[in-house]
Amino acid sequence: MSTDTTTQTCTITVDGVPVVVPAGALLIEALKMQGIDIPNFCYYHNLPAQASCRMCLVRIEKMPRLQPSCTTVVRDGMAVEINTPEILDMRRGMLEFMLANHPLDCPVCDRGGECELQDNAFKFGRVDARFTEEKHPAPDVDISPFIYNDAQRCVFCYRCIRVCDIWMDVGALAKLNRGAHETIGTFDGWLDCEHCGNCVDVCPTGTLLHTSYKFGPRPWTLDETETTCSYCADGCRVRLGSRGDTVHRSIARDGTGINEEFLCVKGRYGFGYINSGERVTQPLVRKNGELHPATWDDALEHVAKRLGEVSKAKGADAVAVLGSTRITNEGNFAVAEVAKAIGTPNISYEPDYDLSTFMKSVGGRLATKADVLSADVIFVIGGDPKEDQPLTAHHLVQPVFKGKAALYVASSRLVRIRKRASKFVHLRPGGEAALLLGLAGGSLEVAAKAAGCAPSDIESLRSSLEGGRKVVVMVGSDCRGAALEAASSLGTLLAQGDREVTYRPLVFDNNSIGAFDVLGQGVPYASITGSLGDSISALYAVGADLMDGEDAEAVRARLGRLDFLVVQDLFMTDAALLAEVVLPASTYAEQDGTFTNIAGEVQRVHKAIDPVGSTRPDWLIASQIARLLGAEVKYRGSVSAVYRSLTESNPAYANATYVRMMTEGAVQTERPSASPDRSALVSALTSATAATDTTARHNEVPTEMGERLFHLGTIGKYSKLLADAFEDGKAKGRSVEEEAALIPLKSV
Amino acid sequence: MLTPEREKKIDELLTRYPSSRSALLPALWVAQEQYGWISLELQKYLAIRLGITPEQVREVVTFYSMYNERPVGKYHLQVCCTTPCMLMGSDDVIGYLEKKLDIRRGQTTADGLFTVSQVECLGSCGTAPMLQVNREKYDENLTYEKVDALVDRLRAQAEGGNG
Ligand code: SF4
Ligand code: SF4
Ligand code: SF4
Ligand code: FES
Ligand code: FES
Repeated sequence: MSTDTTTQTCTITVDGVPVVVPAGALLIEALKMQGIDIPNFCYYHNLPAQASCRMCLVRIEKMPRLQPSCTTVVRDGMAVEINTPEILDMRRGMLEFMLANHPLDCPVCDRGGECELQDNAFKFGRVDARFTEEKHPAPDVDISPFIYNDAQRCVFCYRCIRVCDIWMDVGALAKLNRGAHETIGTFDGWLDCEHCGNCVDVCPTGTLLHTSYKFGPRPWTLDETETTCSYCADGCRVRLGSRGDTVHRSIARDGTGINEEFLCVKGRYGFGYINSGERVTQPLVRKNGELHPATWDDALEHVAKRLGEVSKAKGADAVAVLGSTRITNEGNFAVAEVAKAIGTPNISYEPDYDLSTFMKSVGGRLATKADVLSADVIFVIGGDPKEDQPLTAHHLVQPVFKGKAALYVASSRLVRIRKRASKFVHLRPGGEAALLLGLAGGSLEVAAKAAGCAPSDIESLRSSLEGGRKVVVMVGSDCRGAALEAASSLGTLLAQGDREVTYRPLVFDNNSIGAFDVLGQGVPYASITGSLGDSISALYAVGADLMDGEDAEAVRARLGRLDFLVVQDLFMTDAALLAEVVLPASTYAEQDGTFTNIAGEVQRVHKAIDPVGSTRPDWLIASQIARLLGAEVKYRGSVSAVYRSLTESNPAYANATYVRMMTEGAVQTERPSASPDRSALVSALTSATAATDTTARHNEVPTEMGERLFHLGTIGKYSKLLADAFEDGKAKGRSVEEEAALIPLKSV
Repeated sequence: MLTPEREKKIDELLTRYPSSRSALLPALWVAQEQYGWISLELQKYLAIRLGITPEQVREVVTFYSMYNERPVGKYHLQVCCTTPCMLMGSDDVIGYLEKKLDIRRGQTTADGLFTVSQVECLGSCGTAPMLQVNREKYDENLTYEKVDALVDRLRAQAEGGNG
């Protein structure tokens, strides 16, 4: 919002009718609240005013000329005319100019049907065209693997440019040439940027468009489903547009979620894996050494029988069960029921972040979007949201741009987020604990020496952090052990003061926190993978990338020694190829459920299409296995019942009901905050500092745009558009030299 | 990419303004003086030099017709075609030049002598139609005869080697 919400109101008249509006509001927004839409192009609710399109002009009493309602602030007694012949004539005139060089090719334009220019021309424009001049034709051109540009359709509202500058902090779009020859373009014809596609989604015309939707179905023929992104832990709300069994696009519209209209490259263009031809679509059971299609009944009975056999022969402990940071909470909950039915303690998942340490010591609430946007100090240590949590990065630069918050960054890597930092402390590898010791009031000399920075850096950072009233600490995965404990309770280490500190663990996978909440009480992941083929003889692995690490060959050997392996996944992973039974799971787009995001907020996953092939949701498969193993499963066929059982067993989720999510969107889980012992933290930091390798050299290689943002991961790999763009290097980021030149402050 | 004197000139320009972005216009002149035009490579170089994005540089280069993104001939004939000049016949003038030199606007003659460009208002509407050769003084109230004379004069100048 470009205005502060206030309780003060004032009265204006609109075409003679008095209406009460919030004082200080922009006229266009005040009228919108009354349900009165003023046509506009360059206005956008969370972008700075531009007032260049003149579409929103209105007559205001006593003002000599028509005034733009997108920059006019309401005043008590203001008399506004919005529907007079004069205004209608003006709108007709503005549109006539905008259409002067427009190709008028709506029938073949992919924006047709959801085009603001088309809508306004239809409502307010002329029927005929009076210009007889030749148009300047401009063929559409691809400007990235994801975006194409049909320059002739532009109305020069510059929403795209402002979005790239301000939402993305990238600045890759340019307005080229001038006058009648002006176009929106790029520096050299190809975009070097983060490829988020947000510029496309805010474009009110068919100028910037998604290649993934070129000549796609007309928007009004799509079924649209609001759900939660399956890539990163930021948990953007996405709207999947599907027709029949196929997902055609993923967009964010109407500002409905925590991300409003923001998406990143993966969330927007990475939906291809859903309808990938490489999905496993039917259960497979190995017979005579080969995997053969089987019915669900046969496959599930086989699984239950074999798990039962191993457990009977070698003890329940010989069976292990793995869930995943990727699947829904309901999926993991049902997977845990299988372990319970067998009676094995060996349940786990592969964590992407040491959440058990973080949650044990976290000194306050998990920071929500509102906390980030209203912070006055943001401290990022040991992580890079620019590459790993794109929505977090977008949110955190907004108060910085507005001058409301100061950003401080400490990292052993030259992280991209340092670009907007008031101060960047470049640590030596492993220097996080030492820095935190210094911040906690330990000897500056000792801390600085081990951290690899100057004592004055630590001192000034400390006073900056202590000066904050609303502090958000973002703890990256470079913080480990004592450093992780200390960073997640930084508030207790700083001098006492009147300040609220909230925390955000920079986790990666879409349901990292949910997996921790549901499966975190199990045994450590390594203790399972390390015992496969030894004390563990049977494994039920759900959505687990068992062989994605460097030790893939060792894992293969271990898996080979198992008596029984059942893999439940979307694709024929390397582990699935070794399995005795492969159970085909549905993607998030084919099921209902929940994910828990980076702020510990639970959000709904909604089914957009029917399960592909004969796949089934993880929660359904797992609960069927649990039932066959003799467990009393209450929730046959109802995912909401699975979730209800989850909320009953986990108090943090007690108040996060489906009903609340329906009305509120994201509902934060309620966790007791730890009360970490300050002196224990300091002594742990002291030993960690003493153990720091002070000969370790600083890493001087700057993080490149896209270095991890363009990393595919399992599901990305099967999303053709993403995979093609990233693997052959067609999707490039801005070069390190150019980025470095934009950094206002030198690192220390 | 620039001669040491020009680099020094840019250093000096950078001290003149509170924000380096403001030094862009004069810095582009300095660069164009050396090459006669400003390549994308040179634009990128200046962006890094000034701490702004290459896009910000190109926006300015393409906005002003005084900056050339391509090499131009020895004589750059910039014909104003904005409304007052257009009403006074600039379309005829530029069309005449195109025919006479056998090139289209934006092109350069094979001998490298002339480039014809269509530009926006040069602020001399009172003497429309008009054109400007390189950065020299305007040729105004143009007629076909004046255009003939101008081209002859420039050709002679080039042959005489004192252009
Ligand atoms: S896709 Fe690229 S150009 Fe468009 S807003 Fe995103 S970063 Fe900017
Ligand atoms: S490309 Fe679209 S968003 Fe950008 S200026 Fe043109 S109409 Fe506006
Ligand atoms: S920022 Fe994260 S949640 Fe949002 S679209 Fe990208 S991957 Fe999905
Ligand atoms: S919306 Fe107000 S001038 Fe464009
Ligand atoms: S219109 Fe040609 S000089 Fe102004």
